Amino acid sequence: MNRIASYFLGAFLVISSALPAAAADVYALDTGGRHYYAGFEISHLGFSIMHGRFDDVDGTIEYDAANPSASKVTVKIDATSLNTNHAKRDAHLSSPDFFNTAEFPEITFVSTKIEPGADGMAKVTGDLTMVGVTKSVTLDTRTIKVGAHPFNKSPIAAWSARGTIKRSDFGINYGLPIIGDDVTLVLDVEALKQ
Amino acid sequence: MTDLFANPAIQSCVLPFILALCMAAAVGVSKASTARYAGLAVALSFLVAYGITFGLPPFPANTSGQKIAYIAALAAVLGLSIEHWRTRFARQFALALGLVCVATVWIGWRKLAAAPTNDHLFALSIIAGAALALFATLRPPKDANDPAVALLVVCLSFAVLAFLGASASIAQNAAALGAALGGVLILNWPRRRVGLSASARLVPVVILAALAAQTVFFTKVPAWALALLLPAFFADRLAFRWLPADGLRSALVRPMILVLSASLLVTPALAAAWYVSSSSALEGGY
Repeated sequence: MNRIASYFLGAFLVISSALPAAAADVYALDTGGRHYYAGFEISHLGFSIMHGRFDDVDGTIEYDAANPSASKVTVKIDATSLNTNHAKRDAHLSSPDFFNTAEFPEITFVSTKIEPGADGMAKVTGDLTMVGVTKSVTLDTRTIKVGAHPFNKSPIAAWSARGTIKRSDFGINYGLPIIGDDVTLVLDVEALKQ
Repeated sequence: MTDLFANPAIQSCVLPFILALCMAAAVGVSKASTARYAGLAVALSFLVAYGITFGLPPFPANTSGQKIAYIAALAAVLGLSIEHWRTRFARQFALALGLVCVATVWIGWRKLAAAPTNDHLFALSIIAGAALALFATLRPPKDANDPAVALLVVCLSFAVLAFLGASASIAQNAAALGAALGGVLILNWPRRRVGLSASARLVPVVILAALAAQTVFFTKVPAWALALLLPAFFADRLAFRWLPADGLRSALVRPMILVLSASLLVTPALAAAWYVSSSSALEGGY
């Protein structure tokens, strides 16, 4: 009997070790409701701060509440959806001078490391690919809320991220230094549990 | 000083013009044996202007804009080779067209690698247009300055088209090419000082074809508007056909008539591009 019990115990240990740890919840960006904002801010000729955004964004967040550092973020931005509320400027920013959207229509961010901090804050480091160049970027991220939707009760979560890059790191050199090199990235998303 | 070099007019007009003028004068005027290399001042000045405007491109080049610098460098090497080995017209034409083919495919690779689309037709059109331009500028001319003057007008018109198509960087490159060519040509006006060899005409056509590929594949400039520039490459032949030869003999007046003729020939392209874009996306600042 003891031998049979030890076989069962051994088999249980083998099977349980092969199983993944508590799986993360997968959230997809709320593209239907467009509850997201992917924007950028850059100095305009050293005077004002110019704001722009990308209207079409998609992505997933594999959120592990118990172990946030095991979470994973993937964001895909349609660069051709660039919008600065000015058609001529959009045409210029889409041209080979800047985002070169006809040649590189997609911007992606894939997290590689997440360092949780206090009060829902985290440093999310990932590979940002833009204009065909991939660079490691760290975003200061805050988990705003994870819970049930107040109306339909479905699980929902929201995050906010900020970071700064140098556009010259991505080979976007046109207009330097008159048009600023530092670009602030803003990503606010609401995501629905899958 | 940094602000000075950040000025687009300095980057793409004044700087390449002065550089090409000085380089061509140093090589072409001082010694008869090196005169045939004077035209390479166009490529070198273009490359310096490119470096100041966009910085050194990474290797390997990633974007179509970065590839332009390498194509210009390859065109300069080709120009140097044909001058060194005194290559004849047919071989010059074949080598330059081969480089244009490579440049077009390389620049448009991200689009051409996909299933056949209009882009493949555009690529063939660019190569065909470059063949026509090379034929017009490389064939042994009565006066080597003539096709170069027409080429200068085409470069500057190309810059305007790119500007209308919302790409200042391509416009600046085309303007820099025209300014560099102008820097060499001004040495020969009103008195001939340097002999314009084949490389002075071949190199700009190859760079212009590469810029055309970048423009057609990645900007809003319609390909047919660029095609309308092609007749201007034959401005010298047309001017000879329709104008009294006496007026064209004078070294002072001849280039002026050619500039006027070429300008008339590019007018439909500029008018059409203006009509399509209604106004430049870069106009007025924002």
